[in-house]
Amino acid sequence: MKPPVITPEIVQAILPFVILALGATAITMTGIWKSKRGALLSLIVLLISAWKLGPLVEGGPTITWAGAIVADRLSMLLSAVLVCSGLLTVLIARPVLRRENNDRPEFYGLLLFSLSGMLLIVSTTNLLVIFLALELLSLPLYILCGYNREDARGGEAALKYFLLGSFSSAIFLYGTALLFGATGTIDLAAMVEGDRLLSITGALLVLSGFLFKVGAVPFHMWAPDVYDGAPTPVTSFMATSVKVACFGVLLRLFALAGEAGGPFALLMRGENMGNVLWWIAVLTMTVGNISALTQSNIKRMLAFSSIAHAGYIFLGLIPGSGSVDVRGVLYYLIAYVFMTTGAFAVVAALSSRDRGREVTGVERYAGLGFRRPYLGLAMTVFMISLAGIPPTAGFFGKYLLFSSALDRGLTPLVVIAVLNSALSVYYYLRPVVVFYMRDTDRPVQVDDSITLKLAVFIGVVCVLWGGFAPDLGSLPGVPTILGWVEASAAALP
Amino acid sequence: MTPESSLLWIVLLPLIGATVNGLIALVAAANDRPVPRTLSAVIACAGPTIAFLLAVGVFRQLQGMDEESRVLVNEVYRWIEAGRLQINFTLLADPLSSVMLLVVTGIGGLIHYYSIGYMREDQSHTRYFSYLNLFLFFMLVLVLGDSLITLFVGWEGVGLCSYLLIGFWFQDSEKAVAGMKAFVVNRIGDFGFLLGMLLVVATLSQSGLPTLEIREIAHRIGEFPPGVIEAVGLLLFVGAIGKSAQIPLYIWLPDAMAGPTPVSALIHAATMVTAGVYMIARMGFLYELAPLASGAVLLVGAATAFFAATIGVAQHDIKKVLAYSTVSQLGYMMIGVGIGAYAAGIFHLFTHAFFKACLFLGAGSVIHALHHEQDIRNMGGLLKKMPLTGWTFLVSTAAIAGFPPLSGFFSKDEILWLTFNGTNEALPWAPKLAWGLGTAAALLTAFYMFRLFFTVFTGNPRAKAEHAHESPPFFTVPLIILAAGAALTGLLGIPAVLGGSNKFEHWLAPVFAGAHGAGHGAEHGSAHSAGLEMGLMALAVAIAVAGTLLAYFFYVKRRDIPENFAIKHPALYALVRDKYYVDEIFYAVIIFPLVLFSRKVLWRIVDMKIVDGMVNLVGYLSRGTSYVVRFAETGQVQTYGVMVLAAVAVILWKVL
Repeated sequence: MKPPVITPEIVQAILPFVILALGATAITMTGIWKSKRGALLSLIVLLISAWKLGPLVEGGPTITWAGAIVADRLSMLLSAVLVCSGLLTVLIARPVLRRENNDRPEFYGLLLFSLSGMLLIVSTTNLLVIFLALELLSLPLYILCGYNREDARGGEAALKYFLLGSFSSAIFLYGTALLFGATGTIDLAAMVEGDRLLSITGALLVLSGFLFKVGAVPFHMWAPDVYDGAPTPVTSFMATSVKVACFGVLLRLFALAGEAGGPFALLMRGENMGNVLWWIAVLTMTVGNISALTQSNIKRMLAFSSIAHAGYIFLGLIPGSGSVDVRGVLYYLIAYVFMTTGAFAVVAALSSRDRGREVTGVERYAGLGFRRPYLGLAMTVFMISLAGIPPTAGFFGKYLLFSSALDRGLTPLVVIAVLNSALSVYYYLRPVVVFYMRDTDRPVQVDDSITLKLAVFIGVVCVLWGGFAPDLGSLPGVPTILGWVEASAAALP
Repeated sequence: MTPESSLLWIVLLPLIGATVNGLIALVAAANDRPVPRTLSAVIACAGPTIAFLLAVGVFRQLQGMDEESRVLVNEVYRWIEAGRLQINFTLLADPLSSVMLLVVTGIGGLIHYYSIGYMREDQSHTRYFSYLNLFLFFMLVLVLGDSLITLFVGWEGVGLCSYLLIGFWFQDSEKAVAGMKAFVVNRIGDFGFLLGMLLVVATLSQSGLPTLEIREIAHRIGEFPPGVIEAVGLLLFVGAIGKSAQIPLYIWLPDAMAGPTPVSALIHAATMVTAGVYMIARMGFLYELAPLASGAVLLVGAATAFFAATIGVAQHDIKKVLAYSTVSQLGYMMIGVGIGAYAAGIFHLFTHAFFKACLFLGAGSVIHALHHEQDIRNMGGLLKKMPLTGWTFLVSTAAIAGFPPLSGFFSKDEILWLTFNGTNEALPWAPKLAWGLGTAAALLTAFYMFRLFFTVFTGNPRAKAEHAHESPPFFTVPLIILAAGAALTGLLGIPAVLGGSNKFEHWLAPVFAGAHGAGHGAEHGSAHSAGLEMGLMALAVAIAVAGTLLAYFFYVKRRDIPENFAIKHPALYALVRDKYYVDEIFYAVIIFPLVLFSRKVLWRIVDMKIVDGMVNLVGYLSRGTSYVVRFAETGQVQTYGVMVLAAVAVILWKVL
């Protein structure tokens, strides 16, 4: 076997990841002289990474390097989304940390480390590299959850996340070992169907690791506690980026199963796994929505809502009578990132700390619709997008997922999903109602920093752009989100 | 401009006026600023004026064409495409719609000018003009639409505008309620109309492509079974009963007098309420083949003509008298179209538009001069104080009473003569009965109209009438024009027996060519029927004179007789004065049980118990589940770990 050669194309393909990893190291080191420029530096690093990533998103041949790196349009689009999400997180984090006198460079360093892990995990088919990337993205997150040391709940969240995360990593690793034993390789693309019991068990355990990470029911129980306990910018990052990265891996796994065969094909072939995924989708969206129903704390509500959205995305992963709906899942992920991050930005602008504890109750929003009309309008846009009401990206994403699922013969599932969407309108509109229909005499504290406003603005623009011009009616030459998504979907087998 | 495109502009101009004035009113209301009166008046009057000139152009164009091919069509756009059903938004002008076009734009325009004076002091005159223009738009769509559904768009649109204008002074809850009553009652009729349309589509789609285009239906009328034709005719007539205020749905029209008087003149006398008559005439080819439906039209029309006239005798509100007189005259038109004399029915519609608009505008002039006094017992002697209003009112009163050679004489006599001579296959006795009722109603008409005239304009001034002055030219010029119309338009329809050529009927003949009804047979009658026709004409004149003399005797010479009569027979008097308690009967039989049922059953049980119960149940279930799920969230890492392991085990067991 010829030793793999490092070509300039490979270097170019992994450059965005390398820049993030190196930048993260450098920023962490600036902590030595108590630098306050972490946010600025990390923005620069992220922008350089995005700059290097830009041409790759537009296309080019698929580049692989010994199965360890797979750079195709899917991985590049996901990387771009992840970098965007990272940028928004930094924009949200800076004012929050400043406000709490907690602005230290290691926060941004850890964030970038985690992000580099995500970039890596979406660009590989090698199970060991996946494991490596999984740990690279998870370990900094455990720390970030407990970043605020005065907040006991943050510490609890961090410990819980760490323990259960390690547990799921172990399950994942066990699966990897079984697959290696069954097939003699750790490259998913090269795997053949080995012994049935070993293959299926291994594949299922690998799958379970990711089901845990995306918070699918019944692997979701950590999510509300952790999302609630972590600082708001971290919650936003976990609820969006981690999901994008892990759904990206799932897409690749299922797509490969459809084409190359191997243990995952074996797993998916029977009726039963389809049924299991069906139930996971139903349970995930239903439990997420019903739990969100009674929350009066917006952050917790958004945590449960992120579980529900994972359930909708599962609609696209069930093959039904066709194949996996790559287009719908990708579009939904992008829409989801912008609407959720935007909503968290508004939450961050309105939250405060009371004896170390973050206060994010819905009653803080009373009367804001008229006192802060732009902020109120932005939150309304995010909420109707999350609820899936036109003319927003959230609506169009649901439309793509649901209509494609109907084509694949999943009618009962779509009915349940639509009922769930209807249910979700109730709790998504509650902040809006409080915004516009209730008033209070209390002085309103709103964080007015420019970066938060920028994050909210970007969120609104993207949500409306995705809703108004998904593919129709856009100007010629202006790229559309759906155009990118379709090009990426075409790159997959 | 081609005649076809001028059809489109006739429709669009009032719409543009309505939109512009509406926007101005909105902006002004938002900024709390008054709109210059001249501005909104000029915008409002420009549309109908230009539309009238264009309508005259269209009329001239049609006149220049061959008699058989007098049709102008403008296919504006394809409106609906639903499966096999395809509907174009098409405007069509033929002799019938050109007559309506002239009435709507001409009289509509005059009333716009009149409104400038009448609404001068009103705060919301811009809103008023916007509604009035919008009404013209919908009325023109109704008249020019070439399919039942386009006609229905106009039909519903004028209903909406009528509602808006009746309740124009909505601060007064009574007036708002009157608007609502008009709307609700009309909805009942519209329901029949809709069913009729659906039946047409359903029937035609069995034998070919469904269509609602009226000319197409006429071509394919052979595809309808006879029973279906009767059903369609009856259902469409239900719509006409609502819109044209026939028994039993006439009850909204008297209440509609709550609106501004020019609105009563335009919508509730001259144009909108005649839409039912127009529609039946349009569908004449269908009613020709439906003797039962035609008989129903005939009898309902006759009953309405007589019944409403009796109520008119005992009313004291000047507008209410005119309202019942309108209901009664609409009954005459229905008699005309019911017996198959479509041209005669439309002729009466045409002449009625002039004299009734003139009467309403005259009443408006009086009401304006007396500072919103409407009770005729507080008027009197106004002829000297308001000569122009008085004399034009007298001309129109004489016209409606049927004095030759004024217009009402010719049109009413034509209807009665053709009815006397007509036949109905399904109900052979109906034409003679209708003729009897119509003739009796003619006596009553002359009586109550001259009662009105004598009480208001002669004798000694009472109450505020002392200080009345003639109204300004904005009022009187339209009055003079309309009075001239009321006097002279009858000359268009002089029957052959008097040496005329009945130009009006001749003009409409191509439209009703398919309808070989009573009208044609009678027109070419033999010599001995000419003698009979002359005899009946003489009887009609005698009746008009008798009614007038009675009114003169009771209300000028011996005022004490009617007063004593009211005292001696209080029950009878009250019965008539209170309109036979029809409103009360409606309330007791329909509204009260309905409201009771809504309150006790629909609201308390269906809504509160069943619907709310179901909604609440969903809520409780969701919340309950939510608590259960929350209970599972113990916060214990050990529990979570076990859950994950159990889940993996269960899935593995399921898959393997």
